Amino acid sequence: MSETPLLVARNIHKTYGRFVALAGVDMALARGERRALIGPNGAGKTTLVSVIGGQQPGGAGGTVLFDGRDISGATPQAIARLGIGRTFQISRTFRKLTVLENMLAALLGNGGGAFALSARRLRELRAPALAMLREVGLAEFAREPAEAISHGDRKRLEFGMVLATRPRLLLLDEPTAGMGLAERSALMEMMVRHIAERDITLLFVEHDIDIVFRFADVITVMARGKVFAEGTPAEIAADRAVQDIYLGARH
Amino acid sequence: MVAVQIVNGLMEGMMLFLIASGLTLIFGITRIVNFAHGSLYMLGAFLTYQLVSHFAPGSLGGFAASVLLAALAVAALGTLFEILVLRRIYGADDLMQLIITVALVLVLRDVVQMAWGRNDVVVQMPDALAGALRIGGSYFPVFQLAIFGAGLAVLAVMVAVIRYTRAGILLRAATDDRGMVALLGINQARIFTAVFAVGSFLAGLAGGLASPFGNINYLLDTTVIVTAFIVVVIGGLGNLYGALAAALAVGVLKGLGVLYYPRLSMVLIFLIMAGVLVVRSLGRQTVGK
Repeated sequence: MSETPLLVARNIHKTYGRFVALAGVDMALARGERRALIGPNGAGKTTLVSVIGGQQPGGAGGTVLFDGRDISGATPQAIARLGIGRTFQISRTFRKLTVLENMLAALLGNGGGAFALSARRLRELRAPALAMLREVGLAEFAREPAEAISHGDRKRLEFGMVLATRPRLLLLDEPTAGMGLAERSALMEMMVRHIAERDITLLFVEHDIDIVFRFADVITVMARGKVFAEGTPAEIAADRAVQDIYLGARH
Repeated sequence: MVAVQIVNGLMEGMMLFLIASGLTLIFGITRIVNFAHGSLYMLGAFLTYQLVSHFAPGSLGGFAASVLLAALAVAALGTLFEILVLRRIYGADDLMQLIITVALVLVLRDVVQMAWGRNDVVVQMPDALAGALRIGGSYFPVFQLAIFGAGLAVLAVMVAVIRYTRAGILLRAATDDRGMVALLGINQARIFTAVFAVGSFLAGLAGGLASPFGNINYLLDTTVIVTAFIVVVIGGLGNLYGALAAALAVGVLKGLGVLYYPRLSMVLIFLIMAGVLVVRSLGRQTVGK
């Protein structure tokens, strides 16, 4: 059976005043694929992720199809409900709430009853919330306020929360930014293990080339709002042009 | 005398809290500064006045039922206003929001004048709550104590809902980061409407409960909203427990101020607000360094 891609982005463009952030991007993600999005600063990676997630104020030109359905211009809430989850460069959690309460809030998105006024309905969610915290290694911090835990743990929490919304496609924007080398690898391994277990398709923006080559099936290289190259890690590594504009800069 | 004024102040503070809590909840989540909140309080008082006349004069049950019905009617009006008007302007700039809510203030003031005229009206105190209670040599008005108790009960329900229910977690999450709530797939519009309904209910409830205490007229809206804003600012915008502490403090200060410096009591409260704002801005500067 030849499967249709889970996500198709066609001719996406976005300008801010005279600055062209995206100048006609085409991309297709196969189901279960792990795609890395790389490129120099200002290449349009985060903008593209925001367009797919519906968080681009003022919208963007072009079409985004998710599982065959046109989601261009849909609200972030509608897109989340369809099964696209995302995390942010600067991790986004409810900082005043405890770690457990953050996870409870994340679980409210599934099914109805988010407005329920009975204590019993909240207690029902405790076990699944604690289970999810254990999965991302945060059970011991359940009672801590989210603002009190470390940067890396907050990234884990954010990931656990988005996982709790049961996405089919995950958009991770620089999941390992701001972390030490050893921590990066452990975090990414944890994330990819959960993603693989749940058959989630992954699109991640990442600057750490080692992480990209280790975890991506396909790499898309962006530059100046366009797709510059696309291929397997081996193909990208062998691409002279990519080396010149991007990878070469490291050596 | 001092103790009696403190009780009076606590009662007024509790009513202030009921008003300010709605105002601060609505601001915390929708970022709308609802100038019409005082008008909803006023409407709660007038509706209670109207409804009470259908019951036996001075009956406690009649008063309670009237207050509850008035609060529900005010909640319905607030909800309608949110759905029909405010929902269209959440993205608009602050000035637009200000104009719209001030417009509601003017409309409601005209409606109140058309329905009940420009003269003061008085809601009769329920007989069961008239009189005074002798505690330790001083006499405390039963009504004030009862209203304080009713306020405490409402507070207890609010705290329980906020701490122990799904809606409470949702409310706190949305106050923290409402955009993130949408990313979890939760309907933001429904949260906004629910918060507006609850906030309006609390304003109407406070207006009804406090109605036998003092005169009711069409100028009540501005008196109430100014004090409520002071309470919300002192307590920290969007901070419910801050609003509670500030409301009780302002209530008691007003009560004691009347005793010692009757002319200065309102000035005193403005001074406290100014002080809080100055201290808070100093705190920010040192953090920034």
